[in-house]
Amino acid sequence: MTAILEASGLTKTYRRGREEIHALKEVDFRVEEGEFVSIIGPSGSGKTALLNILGCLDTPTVGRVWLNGIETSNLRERELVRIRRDNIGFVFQQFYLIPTLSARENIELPLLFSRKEEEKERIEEILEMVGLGDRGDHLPGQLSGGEMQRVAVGRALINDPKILLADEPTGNLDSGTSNRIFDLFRDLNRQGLTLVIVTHNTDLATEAQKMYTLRDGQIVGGEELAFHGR
Amino acid sequence: MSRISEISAEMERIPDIQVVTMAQVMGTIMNLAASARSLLMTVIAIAMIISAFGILNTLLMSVNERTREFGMLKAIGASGLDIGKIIMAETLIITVSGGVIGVVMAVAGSSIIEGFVKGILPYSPRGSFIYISPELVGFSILFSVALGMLCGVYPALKSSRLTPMEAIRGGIE
Repeated sequence: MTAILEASGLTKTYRRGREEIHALKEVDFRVEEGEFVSIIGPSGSGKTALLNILGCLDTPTVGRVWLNGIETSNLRERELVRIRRDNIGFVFQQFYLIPTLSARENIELPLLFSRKEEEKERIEEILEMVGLGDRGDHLPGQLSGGEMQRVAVGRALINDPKILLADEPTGNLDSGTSNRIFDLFRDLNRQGLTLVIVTHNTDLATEAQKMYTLRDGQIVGGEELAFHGR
Repeated sequence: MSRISEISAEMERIPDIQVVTMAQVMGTIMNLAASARSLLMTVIAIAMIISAFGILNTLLMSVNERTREFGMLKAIGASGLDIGKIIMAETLIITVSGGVIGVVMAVAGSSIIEGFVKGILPYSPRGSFIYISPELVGFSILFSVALGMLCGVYPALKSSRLTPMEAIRGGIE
């Protein structure tokens, strides 16, 4: 298998006033194509910092990152924009949908920036895929939390990313809804998508193929899990 | 006519008589009108400076409130330029509608003020004081758009330069 995402010696240091915060300390990380990986750890362990660096939203203080064979850690913002756009789909805990746009329009939003024309069928296909076939015209305010997160997942998929990164995607959802979002992730993974999910929900994290544990900015454990593949 | 000053000088020889010619009266009135006009211009200039800061502040606030939204847009593939364009486009829409509303209010308001002024003025001419020229309307709208766009540049630049991380964490410091 080839690594779609690889990081070596990642260190991230923030300054908060006089204090230096070491969010990541020499983290090595690797994701193979088609894998479903989860990262768990208590809050403040550096999960989000790691995900943001992997997703080219942030740059490491020290260390290197390769996405699909391209080293991204020393690229400039303008080039990172293109890499993010063409390779990465993001899902956030707070969904970040535009409240005045319908579910369908929210899903189409990234096309505005990638200047791609997508056929109507593809958008409907994505709506179906995330289980919102009949909710396309609803505004976010008319949708439940789980449905809103499905819209966000759909939005992350519209540019056909190579990898989907999710930061606490179920952090705002109840357990039943969370399970269904993870079912969706598993479906997407079965269709060939690579996923990296950050979560503090251990039960859900074990649904992935691999689970890494992050503590105090270091990976303290990696487990191969018996993939349920249901 | 040519003898006006001669005659008035002659008349002023009579004790306790002061002669004020119509030309002098006109001159004084013109002077008064000119100072009123410059006072008005000063008031307008101050109002414009204040409203420019008002626009700037409003735009900065709205941009600041939506920093996270811009962060999300960057995460889904928007470039800094895209964000800047969005803010400038919004500013354009706001200022064009502001200019149009302003002109409509000016037309309506000026006829109310005209009625009021005519009521207190002892000798008011017949007909309307107010003439609204198409050039003036065009200029007013263009000016408000130009002023608004000028005020939009800074917020747009500021947000377009945010890194996605700063944006998602929220807040322009």
